[in-house]
Amino acid sequence: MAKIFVVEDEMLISTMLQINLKRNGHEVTCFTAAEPMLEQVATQSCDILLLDIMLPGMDGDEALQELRKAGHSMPVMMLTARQDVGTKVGTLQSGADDYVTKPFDMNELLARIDALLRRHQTEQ
Amino acid sequence: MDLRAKGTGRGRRWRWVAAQRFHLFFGSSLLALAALVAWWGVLIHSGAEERKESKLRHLDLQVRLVASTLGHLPGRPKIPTDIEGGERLEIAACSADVGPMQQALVPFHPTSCVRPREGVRAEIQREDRRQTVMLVGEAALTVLLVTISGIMLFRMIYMENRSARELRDLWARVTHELKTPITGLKALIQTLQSQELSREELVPLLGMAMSEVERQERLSENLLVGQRLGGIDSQVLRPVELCPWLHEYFARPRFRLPAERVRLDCLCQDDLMVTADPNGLRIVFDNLLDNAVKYGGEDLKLAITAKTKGDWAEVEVADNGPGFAADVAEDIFRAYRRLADEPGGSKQGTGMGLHIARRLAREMEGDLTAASDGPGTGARFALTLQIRGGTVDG
Repeated sequence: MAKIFVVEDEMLISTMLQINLKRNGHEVTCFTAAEPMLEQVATQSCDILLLDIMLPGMDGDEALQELRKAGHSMPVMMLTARQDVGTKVGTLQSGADDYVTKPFDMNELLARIDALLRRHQTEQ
Repeated sequence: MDLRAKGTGRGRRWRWVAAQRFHLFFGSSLLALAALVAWWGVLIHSGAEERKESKLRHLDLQVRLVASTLGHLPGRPKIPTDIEGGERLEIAACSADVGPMQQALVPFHPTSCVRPREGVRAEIQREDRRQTVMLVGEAALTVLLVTISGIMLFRMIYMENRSARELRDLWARVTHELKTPITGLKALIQTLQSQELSREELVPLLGMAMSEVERQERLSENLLVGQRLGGIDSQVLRPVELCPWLHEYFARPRFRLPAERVRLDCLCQDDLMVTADPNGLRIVFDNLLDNAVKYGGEDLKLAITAKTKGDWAEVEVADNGPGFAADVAEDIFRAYRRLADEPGGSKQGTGMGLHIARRLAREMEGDLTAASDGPGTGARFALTLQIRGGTVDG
């Protein structure tokens, strides 16, 4: 079981992520914007972070940079609607560990999350 | 934020050059033009000097030739009238103070000299100055024309770049808007395929799914109207009974805007007829509601008032949302303009909604305006429509 933070402003997507992650035995906290997530992370970290790029206020990419700047090293999976290579490369360069493009396949996303968690645990 | 703006070392420098290429190109063209102007200046100046020298040499040669010819002829010397430029010369007694360009008629008339008439040299210099002025004028005109065409060309390139950038932004938004509902619906369907959900869990999910479907529908409609593939044909404008139409429209169940948040007041007589296209009217209200929900937040309340105002019917949609500063009241109708682009705004939407709503209102021979008493005081959108007198007659 892992503690997972989800930052996604679209209610349906966020709810579906929550339902599926919980069914896989994870503990899920959802945020609709990046700022409250950053505040939360400062006091209580998570095992993995799912971060949407297009968010109200601070976007996912800026949030990721803030997170890394603050020294948090948890695995981050980005959710993006854009498929161009530039966005993907930029996302990974800014410190993301993986990304999925919308509309993603739920099973693939869950499998990628498990893989990220395994890798992170091995590294530790 | 442009993700590609990041990178390391050489890559970043190259990206900077790529980003600045327009300014670099513009700057170097200006430098080239300045160099061209300077080069022309040098050419015109040296050309003028050369021309003047050559004219004076020609005059001198003519003086010598005529002097040597007349010097060998006996009798009273006389400048022949049939030689070119003969009228510029004269024969006079040789004197020490007439300047260098005089030749004695040796050997027969050594006291007489051939020389240019008075004023001829000055005339040559004047003519030369005239030519120089003409050349400078022509050059200046050419430079002016080149500069004007250059500026126009750069302006065109700049506008082209800007609209390409806007189009790229728009497509990024449209991509996001198109994919978001599909992502949610796909996740819902995949979840339903793999697990049982209770009715209590399912009902709100289906509500959200319906809202996403409506969002997709609105986007498709706006994209089509935006590309003028849909919208209003003046042929379809017909009398619409305003209040019953509004009651029916607002009675429709909406997940994002439940009926209890909307207060509908019809202060008009029940048989008020307006000229409209019901489909266009629906798109206008869909966009107004979408806008209110997008900015209104959780406690959004809407008050819809339909009343007659002079010769017009006015439907006011007032919300308790964030409102806006008075000076952006017109801006918000500009295509692709979104208050969401400002800090803290929602990133949803393509920025076409209100633009399209106003366009449709105007195509229905009415108008759509916005007002707010300032940030934090809510916004009022007023849709005016033409009153069609009498009762429904088709």
